[in-house]
Amino acid sequence: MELPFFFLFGGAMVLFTLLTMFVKNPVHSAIFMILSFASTAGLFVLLDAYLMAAIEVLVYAGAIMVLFLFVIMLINLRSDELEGMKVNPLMVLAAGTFFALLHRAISDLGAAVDPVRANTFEGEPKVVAKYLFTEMVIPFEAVSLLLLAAILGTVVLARRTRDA
Amino acid sequence: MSETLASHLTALKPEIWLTGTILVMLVLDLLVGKRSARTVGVFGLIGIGGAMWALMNQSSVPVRAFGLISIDTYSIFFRALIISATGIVMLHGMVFRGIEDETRAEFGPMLVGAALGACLLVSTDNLIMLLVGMELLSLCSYVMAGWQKKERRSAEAGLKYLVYGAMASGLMLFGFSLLYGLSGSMWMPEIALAVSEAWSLGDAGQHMIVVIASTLVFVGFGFKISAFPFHFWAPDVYEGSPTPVTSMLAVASKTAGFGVLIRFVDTVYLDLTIAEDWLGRFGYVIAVLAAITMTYGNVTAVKQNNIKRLLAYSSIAHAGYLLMGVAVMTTATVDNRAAVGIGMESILFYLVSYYIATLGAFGCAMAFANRFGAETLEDYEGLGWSSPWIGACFIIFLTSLVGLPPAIGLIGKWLLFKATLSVGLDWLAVIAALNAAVALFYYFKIARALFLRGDTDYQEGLASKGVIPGLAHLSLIVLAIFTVYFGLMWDGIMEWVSEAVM
Amino acid sequence: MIQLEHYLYLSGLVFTLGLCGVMMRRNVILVLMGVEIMLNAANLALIAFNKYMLPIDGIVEPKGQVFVFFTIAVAAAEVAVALVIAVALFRRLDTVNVDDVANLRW
Repeated sequence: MELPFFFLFGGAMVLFTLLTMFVKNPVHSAIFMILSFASTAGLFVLLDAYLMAAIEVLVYAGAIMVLFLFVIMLINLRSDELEGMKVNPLMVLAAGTFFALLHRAISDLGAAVDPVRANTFEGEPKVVAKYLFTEMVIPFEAVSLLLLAAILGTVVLARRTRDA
Repeated sequence: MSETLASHLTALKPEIWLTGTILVMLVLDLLVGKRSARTVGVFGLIGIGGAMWALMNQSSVPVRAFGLISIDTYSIFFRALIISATGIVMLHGMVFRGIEDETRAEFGPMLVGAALGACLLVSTDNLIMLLVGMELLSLCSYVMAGWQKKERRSAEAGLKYLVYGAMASGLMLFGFSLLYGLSGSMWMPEIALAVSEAWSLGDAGQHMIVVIASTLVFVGFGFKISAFPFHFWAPDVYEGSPTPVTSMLAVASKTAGFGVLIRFVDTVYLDLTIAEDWLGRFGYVIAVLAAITMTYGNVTAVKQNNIKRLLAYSSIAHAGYLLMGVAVMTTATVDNRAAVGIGMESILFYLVSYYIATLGAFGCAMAFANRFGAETLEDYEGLGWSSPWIGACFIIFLTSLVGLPPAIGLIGKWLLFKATLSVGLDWLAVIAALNAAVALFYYFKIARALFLRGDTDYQEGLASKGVIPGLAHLSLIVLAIFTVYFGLMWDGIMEWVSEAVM
Repeated sequence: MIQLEHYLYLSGLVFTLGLCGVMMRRNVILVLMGVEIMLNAANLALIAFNKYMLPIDGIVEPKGQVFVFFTIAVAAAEVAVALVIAVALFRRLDTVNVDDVANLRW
C-alpha cells in the first residue's frame, strides 16, 4: 500500500521542486513550492507523522505562501526582471559531487536498518505532544520568544517612518 | 515535583531575568509613550545587571535544568561574557547616535533577545535546544543588522546576513538530521558514542556519514564565528550595520559561536581525535583553516580604509587565532592529552582579551563617528589630539588586539602560541607570528592617523557634530584600564578560565 | 517494500535541488524559497529517521518529529523577517536581483 503512494508523493515532491527552481515567474514558483510542500505532507502521513503533516500544510500553505505571494505583489516585479535559473556548470558539478557523496552515506545508513523496525513507532499527536510539553518545554518557550522577536522586528522594519 | 521544578527554574535564573527584561521593556515602551527610549534603556540595563548578578551567584556545581541545559562553570564563563557584553553594547546604543531615536526603545528588547539566544546556545548540549537558541540569536541579529532602514547599506547588510545565515542553518540542520539518524538521539554525549562507533566499526559508508554530517554542522558554526570559507558575509554586514550592532556581532555572537563549537568538539569528537591517528587529521584541517582565516583577514585588512571594515577583517583574523586553539584541542594525542585542556584554556583566555579590546575599539569608533562623523582613515587624521582620552583608549585597545605589552592581548597570544607549540604545530605558530606582524602594520595605520597626522588648522576646521557623552567616556576608560590591568595581573582571569575548563 | 533509504534518497535529492536553487537564482525571493526547500528536505529526513529508529526499551521517542515542529516555527519566523527586510530595501531600489544589490554578491 505504501509503495504507490510513496512514488506518487515523492515524484510530485521532486517534480514541483524542480519547477519551483526553474520557472521564470516568481508567482508560479511560490505555487509550485507549496505543491512540493503538500507532497511532503503526504509523505509525512506515510511516515505516521500526522501532526507534522497537518502543521506543514497549515504553516506553509496557510502562512508562508500567502506571505510570499503578498510580497511578490507588493514589490511589483517588472516583467523584464523575471529571469530563470542561470545554470552554472561548476555549481551543477558541485551539487552532483555532493549528491554522490550523500549517496554513499545514505546507502549505508539505509542498509543498516532492519525493515522490521518500521512498525514499532507510532507517531500519534498524543505521543508527540507529551514529549513536546514535558521534555522540550524550554525550547518551546524559547520559540515563543523567537516569534515575539520576529513580530517586533517586522513591526519596526515595516513601519513607515515619519519623514519617509 | 514542584520542588524539582523550582530547582530547575532556579538553575535558569539568568535566562529568566533576561526574558523578564524583554517583556518589561516592551510593556514600558507602550506605557511611557513618547521619549520612552531612556526609561526603557535604563530598565534594560537594570535587567541585564540582574541577570549578571544571578549568574555570578550560581554555584559551580554542575546542574542540568530540564535535561537540556547544563549549568556548569563552562557555561557560566561564556554567559558572563555574553551578558556583560550586551550590557555595554546597550549602553553604547543608548548614548551614541547610530540607532535612531524613534526606534531606540524597540532596540533594547531585540538586543536582549539576541543575548538570551546566545546564552541558551552556549549552555545546551541538546541539538534541538541548540538550533532554537542559535536561531533566536540569529533572528534578532538579522533584524538589528537591518535596523537603520533609511540607510541602504544597513538594509542590505540585514538582507545579506539573513540570506546567508538561513542557508548556513539549512545546511547545519541537514547535518543534525544525519547525526540524529546515526545515533537516534539529540543529546551530544549519545551522538558522541554513535559517532565513535560508526568511525571505529563502520566501513567507508559509515565514515562518509560522519564526515558529511560533521562538515555540514561545521558550516553552521563556521558561519557564526566567520571562519574561512564562511567569512564572506562579515565585512559587508559589519560595515553596514549600526556600530552597536557590529560590536554585538563581533563580540557576543562570535563568543557564542566559539562556545558552542568548543562544546561540540569537546563532547563529540575528542575521544576520537585522541584515540585514533586517522581522525587526528581532522585537527590538521582545522589548523589549515585557522591559518587561512587569519592570513586572509589580516592581509585584506591592510588595504581597508573604512575603520569598521578594517575592524571587521581584523575580527576575521582573530577568529583564525581562536581556531588555532581548536586545532590544538583536536591534534592532541594519547601521550599529550593535557594539550586538550591547554588548548581550551588558551581559547577562553584569548576570548576574554578579544572581548575587552574589541568592545573598546568599536566603542571608540562609535565615539569618533558620533563626535566628528569620522568613518575612514582620512577622517581620523588628527582626531587623537581633539579627543585625547578616547584617542588614548583606542591606542590601548589596538595594542591589545595586536598583542603588544602591556595589554592583555599579549598574554592571550602568548598562551595560544605556547599551546600550539605543545602539540607540535610549529608551522601554524610561525604563520600566526607573521600575521601578528602584518596586523601591527594596519593597527599602526590607525594610530598614526589619530596622533601623527593632521595639523591644528585641520582640526579647527572639523565640524563638530555632537559630543561624546560622559558615560561613554567612562565605559571606554574603564575598558582600557581593564585591558592594561589584566595585561599585568592576569592570574585572576587565568584562574577563572581554568575553572571554566574543568 | 519502501525503506528508510528511499526516503533518504528523496530527501537528499530535494536538498541538493534546493541548494542548486540558492546558488543559481539571482532573485532574493527565489533564493529564500530555495532555503525553505532545503529546510523541508531536512525535515523529511528527520521524520523518516524517527519512523525507522531502533527502539530503546520498546519505545521510540518522537524526537525527530518534535525537531521538525521547531524547524517549521523557526523557518516561518525567518521568512517573515526576510521578506520584510526585502520589502524595506526594494521599495527603494525597484529590483530584487541579488546582483543589483552591490553588497550582496557571492
